Order: sequence, then C-alpha cells, then structure tokens
Amino acid sequence: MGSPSVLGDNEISELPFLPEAAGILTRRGYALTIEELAEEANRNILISGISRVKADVIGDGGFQVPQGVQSPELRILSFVVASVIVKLTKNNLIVKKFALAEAKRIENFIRTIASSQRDSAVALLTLLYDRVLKMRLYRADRIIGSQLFEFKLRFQDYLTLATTINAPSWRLVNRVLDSGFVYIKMENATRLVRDAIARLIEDHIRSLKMVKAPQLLVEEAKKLVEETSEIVGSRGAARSWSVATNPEEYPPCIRSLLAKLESGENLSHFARFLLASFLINIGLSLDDIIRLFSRSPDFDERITRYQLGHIAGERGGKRYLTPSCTKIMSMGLCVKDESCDDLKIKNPIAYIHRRRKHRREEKTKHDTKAKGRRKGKGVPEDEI
Amino acid sequence: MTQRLKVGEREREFLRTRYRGFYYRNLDKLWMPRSLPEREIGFLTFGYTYRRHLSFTDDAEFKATILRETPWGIFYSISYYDDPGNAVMERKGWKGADLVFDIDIKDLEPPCLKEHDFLLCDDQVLPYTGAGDLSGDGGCKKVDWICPLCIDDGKDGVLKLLDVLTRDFGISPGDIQVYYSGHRGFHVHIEDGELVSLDRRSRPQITEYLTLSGVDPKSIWRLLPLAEGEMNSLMGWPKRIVERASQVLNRPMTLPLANVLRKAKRFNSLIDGVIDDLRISIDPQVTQDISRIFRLPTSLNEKTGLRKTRCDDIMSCDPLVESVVFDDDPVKLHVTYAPKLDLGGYTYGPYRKTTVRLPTFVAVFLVSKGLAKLAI
Ligand code: SF4
Ligand SMILES: [Zn+2]
Repeated sequence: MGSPSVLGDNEISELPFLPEAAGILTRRGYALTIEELAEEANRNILISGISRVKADVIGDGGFQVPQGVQSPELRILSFVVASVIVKLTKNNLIVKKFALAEAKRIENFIRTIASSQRDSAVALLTLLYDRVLKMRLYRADRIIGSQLFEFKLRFQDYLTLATTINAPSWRLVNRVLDSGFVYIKMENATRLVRDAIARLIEDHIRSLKMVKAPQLLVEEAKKLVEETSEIVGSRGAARSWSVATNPEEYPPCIRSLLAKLESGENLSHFARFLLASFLINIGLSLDDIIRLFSRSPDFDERITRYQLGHIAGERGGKRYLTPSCTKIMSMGLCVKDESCDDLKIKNPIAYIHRRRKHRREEKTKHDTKAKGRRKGKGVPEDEI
Repeated sequence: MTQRLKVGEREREFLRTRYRGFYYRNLDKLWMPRSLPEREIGFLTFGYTYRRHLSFTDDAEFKATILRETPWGIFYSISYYDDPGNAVMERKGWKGADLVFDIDIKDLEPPCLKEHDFLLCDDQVLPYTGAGDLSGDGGCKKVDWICPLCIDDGKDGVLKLLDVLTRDFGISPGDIQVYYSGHRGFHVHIEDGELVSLDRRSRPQITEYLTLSGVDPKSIWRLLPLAEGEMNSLMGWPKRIVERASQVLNRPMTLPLANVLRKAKRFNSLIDGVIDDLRISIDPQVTQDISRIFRLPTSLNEKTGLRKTRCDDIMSCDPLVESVVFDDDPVKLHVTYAPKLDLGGYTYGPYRKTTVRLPTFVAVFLVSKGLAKLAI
C-alpha cells in the first residue's frame, strides 16, 4: 500500500505523531532538543504546549487547536512539549486523557475536511488505516438501499475496531455484511480510527525517553497533576454513589442468580459472568464478591480471583460491562417483573439507580401533595 | 436435568469390545486435528469418567493411546494452547481457536420429537411433552430419539447457516466442513487460518449475527429505499429480512410503506416476526466458549455408537446410513422399550419388553441408549 504523499505540511501538523512530522521540523529548521525547547527564546512554543496540554487534560472537551498555534512547526512542537509534560506527570490517567483528547481532535479535523474536501478526507482516512491500524480501508462508494457507504472493511478488522464501542448500532448484527466485508460510512470510518490513534499516542508517550527534564517542564507537570487531582477529586466523587450492598435493591435477574448461588446450584459460565460484572460495576470489592462465589459447588478461589480480576479490567485489561437485558434475555436468564418494565430497564446496572430515583420522585410527589407546598424539585443527584 | 439411563457393566464391556475393533480397523482413517500438540484432548471412559487436559505430541502417540485405552468418547479443544495439558484453564496460554458451530436438532423444535422422545419412569413409558424439569421425580429418565424427519430439519438448519457463512462472511465453501454428530446435531467446522485469531470479544458478535439477536429494527428501516427498483441493492440480512417482510405483506416493503406501518405501530412486530423465522439456530455457547472440547470427527458417539461423519454435500448425504460403522451380525437382546428406529437403510421396531436378535449396529444403538441388555 505504501504511503501516498497526499499530505501537505498542514495536514501532517494535525497528525504530529506521524514520523513525517519530524521531517517537517528538520526541513524548517526546528529540530530542537527538549533542553532547547525550554529556553527563553522559545517561550511561545512552551506557552502553546502548556495551553495544549491544559485544553486536553483539564479543559472539558476543548478540542480546538489552541489559540496562537498557527504555523505547522509550532503546532507540531506544541504537541511535543505537551507530550513531554504529560510524560513527566507519570500519571496514567493523565496520559489516557491527553491521548483521547488528541485523538478526538483528529477525529474532528477529519470531519471538518470531509464536509468540504471529500477526496482529501478519503485519502487521509485511507492513510491512517494503513499506517496506524495496519488495516486496509477499502473504497466502496456503494448505495445500499437508500444509503451511500463510502468504505468497507474486512469483517475481522471491523470487529477488532468496533467491539470496543458499546452502542448497539455498532454490533455486527446491525451492519451490512456481504462477501466478508462490512460496509461503513465516512463518519463510521472516522469514529473507528479514533481509539487506535489514542492508543498510538499513549504508546508514543510511554516510549519517550527523558534523560534530564528541564525544570520548567517538571514544574508544569506538577501543576498539572495538582489541577487534575482537584478535578478528578470533585467530579469523581460527585459521580460515585454509595455501594448498594443490599440485594433487595438488585434487579430480578441478579437476585435470582444470587438465590441459586445460595442454594449451591452451579451457575453457567454466562450466569457467572453476568453476576460478576454486575457486582464489580456497582462497586462491590473483589473480596466481597469472592465470598459470594465461594458458595458455588466447584469454587476455586485462585481461579475465581483471576477471572474476577479479568472482568474488573485489572492488569491493564479493559473492564467488562454488564451485559444488556437483550443479551440476558437471549441467554434465558431474564426474570423480569413489573419493576423492570416500569423503570424501562435496558441494562441491569441502571436498575438500582433508577429505582432509587423513582422512589425519591414518588416520595417527593407524595410529600409535595401532602404538604401542599415546596415545588417538587427532587433531591440532587449527588446526594444519593 | 432429567437423568439419562445408565448402561450396565456387561453391556459396556460389549460396547468396548466393538469400539476397540472399530478403532483398530480404522486407525489410519481417524481424523486428526491440525496442530495436535497445541490441543487439549479429553476422553470419556467406559467407567463414566471424564478425563480432560490430556495432550499428545504427535498423531501416532494419540492413536496409540486411543487403541490402548479405547475411550467411549473422544474430544479435542477447538482452541490452540501453549500448554494444553495444564489443568488450570488460565495457565494453558490461549493462542487462538477454530470457528465451530453446533446445530442442535432439539433447538429447531421439530414436531417429531414429541412423537418419538419419551420418558422411562420405572419401566413405564411416558410421552415426553417437553414441559418442565423432572429432576428428582420418581426416577424418570429422558430418552432422545432420532428419525429421518428431525435429521432433515437439522439439514435445513445447516443449509441456512452455510448460506450466511458463504455469502455474508465470504468464507469459501472449501474451508467449511460439515459433520453429522452421530446423534442429534450437526457440527460445522471452519478451517480458515485467519479466523483462528478472532479474539474472545469478536466471537460473540458472530453468534449474534447468525442468530439475529439484538437486531435493531431501526437499522433495517434506515436502509429502506423509496422505490421498489432500488430493493436489489440491499445485501446481507437486511436483504433477506426485507424480502421476507415483502412476502408477508404481499408487496415490496419500501420506505413509504414502512412509515405507514411504523405509524400504526406494526413495523417492529413485523420485523421481529420475520427475524424469528429467519434466524439460524446455533448453540451460542459452543462458538463463544473457547474452552470447550468438541467431539473428534470420525470418532464414535457414545450416545449411539454412530460415527461423527463428514456430510459435505448436505443435500445428498444420508446421516442415518453413512454414520453406521458396525456390521449386521445378529446379537440377542432384551429390549425394554424402543420406538421405531430408522438406521442403516432399514426400519426396526418398535419393541416393548421383548427378546430379539438384531444386527450389531442396531444392538449397539439400543445398548448405548440404555434400553437393551444382552440376552446371552
Ligand atoms: S429486564 Fe433486565 S434487569 Fe430486569 S430481570 Fe430482565 S435482564 Fe434483569
Ligand atoms: Zn424425529
């Protein structure tokens, strides 16, 4: 496939992780060492790097290329500085946030071009698939029914990319598959490449070698860690909810599995997975869950611990989500009652939360009626 | 689960002798899995125990062991491992897995099951209605039977599967092998080096695709063309679904028509009905659960004494004839009960508390089912 040289300096500067980016710097006389970057004379580069990293890590979806970062070399260098700062934080969460924000920026960049210069967008996507994903993005330009599909991917490749996205529309069963190819639209192709770019940037940052970091950048990294921990601290806390340890609050399917476990019945593989992923995702500790599973007739603590760790995404894996109700139904484990219908449950995870909310609303309604005053505003979410 | 009938010791010895003779004569024709040293092997012994986590360095060692131990059932992992003999699943070192599909005739719900499956409750024969679980219920044993009708339903299931595998997934027919399991199922094996590396998260999506679980009717609606003329551009499941829906409606299901149906809240139920009709019935666990072990092709099925037999030309193959491997030397048996049995091209029975001489392959079948004892 080679690497078509369709990209001008402007495009490459939007993809600063490509090796070509270094070429631009050399050509334009900006092949600077990290020490040189931190010098006073390069202040504008530093400032743009710092603002870039802040927009990515702290800013809430601030995806515009930072103000004042105009020339291709400055853009590339701002990425270099930002990467160095991120590296210096030694904080995995920051690395991930940065990488994802950068990847989203690229996604948006492609969308913008796609709306005006379709051919450039096609060329850019094809190149990214080739270079970043090591996959071939086939041109299809085919109308299926009423829709135009610009591309197709071999189904194995499609699955590799799409299984990380959770929306049902990305499931293979909701796609057009013919002769081994999944047909996708331009915007699908753009979305599918995003996670891979994020991973590539993460790798790029991990592989950066820093002999002696300039003090200035070390300081910036420190500040970044402080500022993020504030954010993570406050928002993280707001989002977390008290762990529901009372099985009364669990959805019917989970309660029934717990009862089976209690009575010493052996659960199927899927049933165990469902139970484990549910309990992990509502925040029960692994030890508590292991205690539950220890009632299983063929319990082996070591294996159970390993499997739970896997589902919980330890050792760098991805945490597994709790299967959807549709899935649970298809496996014959759904035992829903009216509460599931009333709460319009699509995933058992939503059950506890919705049920609590529902009760509160009922209660508020009730109270409001009873007292005949107080506008039923409900209890704020984070008071749960 | 309802319990199955056990086979007596003397009868098991009878079967074991026949099995040993079969493996002795057919050793060189026995199918061997690719990359045998990376597979886990499992045996069901004539003592009713499962031995798992076996591994062999080459075909000769495997075959010699089969001959020496004469297992009742022989199984191999569809997965490839670094250390297949390790008893801890997580330590086996998973490398990849073949893609295998299991069509279980029971799941196709052929009407004949109600006629020939039965319960044996202390010598009393009761029809099996399929309802309820009879565990702990007065020692009732469930007996599964086969007949040409349900085997034909299984074949239809295989054909539907092959259509989607070849047309949608683009798998070349040459890479697909179809086997009759020797009892109530068909196994479809895909030998495509590239699909071996499909990971654990991708496999369920293939099952979902085949069984049409989780189809969002909106994804079909979104594709619908305005005019009938554009219908031909559809592909994959949307094409089959829209075609079938058009048949049901007796006119082409274009977007305008679908919108009328949506207004009347009839669209989703129409699609759901069509999907129920079209979905392929495969056992999702078999394809997804990569730690499974699977019956070795060309080995004998302990439930019947029939061979798991290649059946590539599904239209012309005749499983109830081709899977028969034993001769017709007569064996004298006391039969408790047996419905009519179609095997090897002839019909036998029904029998009810009687002593008969039957060809060896029929005797093996009835003895394996626990329905007959040797009369000598
Ligand atoms: S509807 Fe969902 S949450 Fe309710 S029992 Fe069924 S699977 Fe569980
Ligand atoms: Zn039948």
